[in-house]
Amino acid sequence: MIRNVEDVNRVIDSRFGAAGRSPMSLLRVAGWMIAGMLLIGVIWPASPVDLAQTPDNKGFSNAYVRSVSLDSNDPRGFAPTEHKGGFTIAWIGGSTLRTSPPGIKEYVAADYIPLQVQRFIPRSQGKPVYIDMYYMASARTFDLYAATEAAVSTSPDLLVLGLNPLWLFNDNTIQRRSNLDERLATSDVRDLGSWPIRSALLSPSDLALGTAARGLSAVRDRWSYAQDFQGPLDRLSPLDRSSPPAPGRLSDLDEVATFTAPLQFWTGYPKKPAQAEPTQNERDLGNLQYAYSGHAPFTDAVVGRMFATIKASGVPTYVYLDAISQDQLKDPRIDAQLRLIEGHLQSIADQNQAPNLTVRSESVARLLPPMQFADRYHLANARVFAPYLADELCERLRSSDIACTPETTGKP
Amino acid sequence: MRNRLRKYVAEAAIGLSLGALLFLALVATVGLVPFIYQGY
Repeated sequence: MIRNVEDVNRVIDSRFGAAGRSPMSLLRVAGWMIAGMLLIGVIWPASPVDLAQTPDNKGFSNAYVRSVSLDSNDPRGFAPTEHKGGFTIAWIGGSTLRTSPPGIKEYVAADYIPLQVQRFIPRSQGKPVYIDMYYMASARTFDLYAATEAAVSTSPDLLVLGLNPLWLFNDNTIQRRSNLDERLATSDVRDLGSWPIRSALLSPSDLALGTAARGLSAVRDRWSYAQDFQGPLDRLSPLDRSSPPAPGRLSDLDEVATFTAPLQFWTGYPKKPAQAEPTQNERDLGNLQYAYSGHAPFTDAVVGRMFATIKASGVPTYVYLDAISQDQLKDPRIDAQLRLIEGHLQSIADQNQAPNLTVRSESVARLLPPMQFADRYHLANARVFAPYLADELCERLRSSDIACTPETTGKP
Repeated sequence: MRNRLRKYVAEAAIGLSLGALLFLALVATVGLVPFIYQGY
């Protein structure tokens, strides 16, 4: 007869032989758990990553240049492959790696700057040049650091790093891709200097999952498994996916009827007269002031670690500060604010000087003749920029005693 | 003897079930559940 908890325990113990009652038993349970995960990876491997099908690589096909970034939820982060007999350039950057015709905000039918640069440097040391782009739209400084760690671990022949003055020293927004944490948590843990910044953003679960991912493909490839499951599960979903008709213009009262929270009413009513829009110059200045206020301890530390990692790796590296549209520089306040960011980058570069590291802290906007921009920060084409960069990269390589001659010289 | 065998079988069943559950939870949190997928 069952009267209390003791009786329940007795019944369970008699049925299951007191499983889980001793430390050794718990250890065996954990062992079976790991064995089960191993088994999943062996008997049912996930679909392999097809880089040609990732959104970043759709719309163009090039045997030598491609983005190796995976989905922003995929903990593997990147999928670089070895280019046997080739000369590999790892190129890290955000949306400014892309160019698009003016007015197109979705950078879909766009071109990549590295793609254009590769045309100027098709070969180096007699080997074909491959460019692995670690392209991360809206990349923040910590994302660039994670990508630098990942790229350096593949020992590329040249590393190129594009920094965006809007995000570089912006302590208001330091990370967009937390999927890279897991990888970072277990890579190069002996680099003690990086522990303070790692511990600021990484969590124990990143360490645990990162460690598990090293041995268990069921953990490492879980994003691919999720994709495999997605199709069959979607068919079971009761969600109505039909597209509703576009709403017509609602009257004020009808609009109020659509509100789902009182706050929506009180933030909109009583209706205030529209305020004068700030001028474009005011907006540009505001953006750059938001980007760096003269005090950014966290991003300072991250940029410092990034340079230290590059220095320790010995990989020839070229770092440049992205362009902002050149008409912005006509405003002396914007010019001064950009100089502040440039000077700060230079001071961190000075603390991390190394023979393998070149840092161009002056924005490309100052160094080149007028260029056509798609918007305030993205180039419309790389006609001026690509030959300039090709020249700069070859110069960087030559200072590391690596032969390189661009097809044509584009330096102004 | 029989009790011990029962114990080992129970341990294996619990361990494998936990492994399968953990696997499903990990898969779900990186892209299976739409609202998590949208909300990075």
